[in-house]
Amino acid sequence: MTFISVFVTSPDTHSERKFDSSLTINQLKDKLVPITGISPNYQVLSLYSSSDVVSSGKAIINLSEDSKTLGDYGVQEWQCIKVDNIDPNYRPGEFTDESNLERFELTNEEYESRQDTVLSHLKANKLGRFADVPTNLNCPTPPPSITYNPDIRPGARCEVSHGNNENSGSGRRGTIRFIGEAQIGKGGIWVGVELDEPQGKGDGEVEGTRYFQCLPRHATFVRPDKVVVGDFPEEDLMASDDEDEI
Amino acid sequence: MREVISVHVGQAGVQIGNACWELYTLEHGLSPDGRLIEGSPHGGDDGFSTFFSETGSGKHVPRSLYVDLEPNVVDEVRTGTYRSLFHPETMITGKEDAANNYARGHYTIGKELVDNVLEQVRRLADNCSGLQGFFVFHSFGGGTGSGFGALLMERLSTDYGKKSKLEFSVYPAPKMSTSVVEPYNSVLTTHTTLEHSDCSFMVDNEAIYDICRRNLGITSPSFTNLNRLIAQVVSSITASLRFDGSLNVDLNEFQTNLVPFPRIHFPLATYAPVVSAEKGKYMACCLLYRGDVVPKDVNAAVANVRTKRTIQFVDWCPTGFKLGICNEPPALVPGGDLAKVSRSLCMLSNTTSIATAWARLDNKFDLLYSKRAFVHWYVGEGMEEGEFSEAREDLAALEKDYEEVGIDSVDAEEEEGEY
Repeated sequence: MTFISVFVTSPDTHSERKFDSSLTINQLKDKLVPITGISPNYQVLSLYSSSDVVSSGKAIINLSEDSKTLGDYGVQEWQCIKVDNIDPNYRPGEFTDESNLERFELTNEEYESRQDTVLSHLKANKLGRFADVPTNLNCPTPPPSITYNPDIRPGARCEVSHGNNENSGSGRRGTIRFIGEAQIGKGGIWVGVELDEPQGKGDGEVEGTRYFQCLPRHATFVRPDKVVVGDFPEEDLMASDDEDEI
Repeated sequence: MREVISVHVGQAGVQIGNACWELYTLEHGLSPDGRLIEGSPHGGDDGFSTFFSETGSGKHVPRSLYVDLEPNVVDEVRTGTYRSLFHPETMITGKEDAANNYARGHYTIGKELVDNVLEQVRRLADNCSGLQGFFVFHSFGGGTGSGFGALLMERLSTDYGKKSKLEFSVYPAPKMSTSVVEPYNSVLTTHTTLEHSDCSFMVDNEAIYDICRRNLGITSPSFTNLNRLIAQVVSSITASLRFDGSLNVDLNEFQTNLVPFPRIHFPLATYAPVVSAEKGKYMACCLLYRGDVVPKDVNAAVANVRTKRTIQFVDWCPTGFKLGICNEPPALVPGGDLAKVSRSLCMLSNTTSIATAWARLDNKFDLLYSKRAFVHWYVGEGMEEGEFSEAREDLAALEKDYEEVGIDSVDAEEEEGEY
């Protein structure tokens, strides 16, 4: 027996397989049923020089004679056998197209009633959000606190970072117009900045409350840790990038 | 001695085994028949007896077991370069393959083989003075890997309840399945194995495939290419068990440090220089360095990573960063795809991002199961249809477990937008 490694590609699958080269096409088709999900009588096999050329290239040969062996067809290592499905009832994407998927979901009640889950563990041991006092053993950064740099005060010049992306270049400059507790998002301390350029979100009003008034898209509200106060004069937009760096 | 027994199940398990044992022999200065190569620098080091037993005649025999329901993959080992490395009785094969069917691997065909396999495990265990536990290598998608792999884990639990059982699992590629029933096999094996596995290192074949194509310039990577890369990951993980290092990690430590809760035990294994910035919340992160790295530099690197806001540990478990440093650099496999390097890094990260892999798998399962497609193949092998829905419910609960893990972090630390 000589085993050869080949790739098998079918409408829903792609895999590397080892077959005995004395296998007849008939026998091969039986083996391909659980791989491709296609009944033998609906399988049409063709041979390609590699899996890279299946979509673009031309088949070397059609493996159409059921009694011939892989050896008879001269199938070589790392060639690719393509399996087409000629079942008239076959609908492409039947097992891969998720657009009409009716997903099985466990209801919250069902999840809550299960044992050995993370939820039951946290509840039973009063951990995480079920802790009497929220634990914070490993937090690399402290949660938003009520203390902030006292230099952050209305009238101060500042730079505001762009948010998550640390590599987004220099911050936007502006003047602080508001600092304090605000009913924005989850509440807590917010800083309202009037930006020099229209790089913000609004005009000083957020969620129905006006904190200050400025031109549209010149206002932004961020957490204090996003604001650096200092000597940040208005940037000269005519200056080139190089000069900007100096 | 803290011995470890490796069990390689199914084609993927066996072929990864071949790549791993090839690498281990190279790393420990052993010839393909298990003899110490003269002049090898490892003569005095007996750390590798955790993975090899020594015979009276000075041969080193892997504490391993190869199991496949069909003979041809193992036959290649029996006739290949490493044929005399392994004890013949530790290579067990049946006559009929599992035909990509979990039920054949777990019930009909697997049942015939499992007693013999456990007897060989018993022999290997009896030959250990202080068995630490087991490494089980298998794929999720294949019939033997999924079905027999799960059966073996159940039986090892029964027979060796207190020993660690760690898995190396090849989980399905997101884009293309290797067989139409891969989602069934994956969901069924994950469900059955969930309560028996202490830690399952997830090998992302598609990511490794991409590395082969992009970084190593292999246009159509074969299993041999993939497995050599996987072996480097496995070797990094097991290095601290095989070599005396400045910072050691043993099997229990992996579990203690990586698994915050028994069900949440699926760390992703990634290998530098290809560590990607994982999204999601970290429950634990294990950095395994090899080669000429000094703890000071490593600690600086960790401090740097810790400050990154993308890494957010859960607040209800003491897992976190764990370091392993093994001074022995990774070995070069002659004819392999990788260049010789003086240092390497393997990262094991238990993150909530794996939940997207479960969700994807569950979607594919639902597409099949809503039409009851191919279910008769499983029922025909004696499996009850109820096992499908039971497994699927367990996986749905697992998805919710990951959601629950993510909840507190979202409140405390998620980057807020601007207003």
